[in-house]
Amino acid sequence: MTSCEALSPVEPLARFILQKGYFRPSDTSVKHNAFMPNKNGETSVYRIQRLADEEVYQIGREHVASILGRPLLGRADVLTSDVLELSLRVEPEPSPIVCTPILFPGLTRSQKENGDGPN
Amino acid sequence: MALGNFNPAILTPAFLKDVCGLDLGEVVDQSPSMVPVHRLLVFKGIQITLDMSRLEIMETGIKNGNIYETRVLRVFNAYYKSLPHTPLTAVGINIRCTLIPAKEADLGTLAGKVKAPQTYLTFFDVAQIDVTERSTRSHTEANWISSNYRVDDVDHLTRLINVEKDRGALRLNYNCEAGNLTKDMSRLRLLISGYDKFCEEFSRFVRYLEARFVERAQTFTRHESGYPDLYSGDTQQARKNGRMDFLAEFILRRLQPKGDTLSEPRGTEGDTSGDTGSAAQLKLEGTIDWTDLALQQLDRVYDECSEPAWDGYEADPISLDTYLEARKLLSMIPVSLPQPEISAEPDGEIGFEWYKDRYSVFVVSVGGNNILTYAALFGKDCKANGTEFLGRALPPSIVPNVKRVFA
Repeated sequence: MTSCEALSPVEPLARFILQKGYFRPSDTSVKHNAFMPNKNGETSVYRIQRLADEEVYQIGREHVASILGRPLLGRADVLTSDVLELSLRVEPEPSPIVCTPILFPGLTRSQKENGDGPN
Repeated sequence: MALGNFNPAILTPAFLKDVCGLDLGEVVDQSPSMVPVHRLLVFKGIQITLDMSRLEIMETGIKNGNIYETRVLRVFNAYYKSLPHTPLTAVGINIRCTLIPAKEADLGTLAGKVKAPQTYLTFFDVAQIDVTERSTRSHTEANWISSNYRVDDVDHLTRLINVEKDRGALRLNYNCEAGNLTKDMSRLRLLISGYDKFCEEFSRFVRYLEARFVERAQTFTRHESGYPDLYSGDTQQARKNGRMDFLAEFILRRLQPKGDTLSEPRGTEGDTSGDTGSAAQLKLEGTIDWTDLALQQLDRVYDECSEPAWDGYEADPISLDTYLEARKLLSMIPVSLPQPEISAEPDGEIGFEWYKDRYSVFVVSVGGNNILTYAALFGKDCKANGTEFLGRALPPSIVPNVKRVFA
């Protein structure tokens, strides 16, 4: 990935999971809240295009898990196209080791009530 | 095993029968009544020991190794119900079993697995455990005798696991303890209501040992008499597979009492791991209301997510108002509905989820402002969402939506 590379619709974005409440152990499916935005209307993800699995997890361990000193439980991937289809924006960071925010423009309580957001 | 302050003189067969409502059969043996500071009552298959600081209920010969149905729970339940103001400091549930390798030569391999700290670090998925090992050393060799592993805060309770070498076998003492009860009695409820889960965990642990052991192409079999032989040449399964796939069940059938039940208090808590048998249950005549379990889950969520960035990113902390509102909502949900999964959301709200499958989900969130938001999937193409005011009663849209998920 070069520093100027634009997001491709088929580029995967990863959200590293430290919380048991972000997935269902019964079938390891990801819950909605793993991709819910914070109060700033942002969900941080990482660009993992063309990275090997171990490289991806290394990013998760070093840049997410180590902050809390908790084990990395896994990751949830979403395609860029799935995000864009929901009229959300992605502000790509060139480096895979820097968070790329998914923006929920002007997110208010009412938008949440309307169920807008990645599933 | 329960630690606290007790009155041993009160423990008589008449007390158990008339006050506690327990029918344990004929008394096989008992301590002299003129010794008021120590009481021992022995019934067929169950033994109760009480002194001024310790209550011990031990069951032996559990039918078919079914630890889920132990009478120990019922006895403790009845005792504590009759004397609910008993000051308890710690209560522990203990399962004891013996691991016997097929060949004596396999003992070293099995011991290597059982005594390795990594086994416990991995199984409990924790960063650190407390290990105490006893061994003899000479200039030329080391001889391992036993190890103790302490794993704190496994679902808010402590695990104390002791492994010791006993001739051609290994004795495994698997304990779950609710300590520091003087400060927080809710741990006792966690321990009691989570007993079935603890049994499942124990079975998983044994299977975990088996899996790691089988990786090295080792097998177990049973050599002692007096227990059902699941894995000898008589067992079709064993013949077919050439190895034991059901070590857990095997071991459950081998629950053994332990004569030595001495344990010392650990700070304000107590080490109840020296106990034998199974344990205690406060299930007062009936099924456990899942509201308690859900409340425990809610408490855990609040504990874990009340600081900023609790998810490793920029999650907002759950406020006290949000937590209290979630409790309020929980108290309104009829227990006739399935138990919801409770989890935190990155915007500091708390979500209640009813999940059947990927396309049948209902989620309700609260954020501490008396507004409840919900969203639902009822199939691939059918969505619903909305908002309700959370007043004194559960908003009318909730129950039908939950029922629709499971319809």
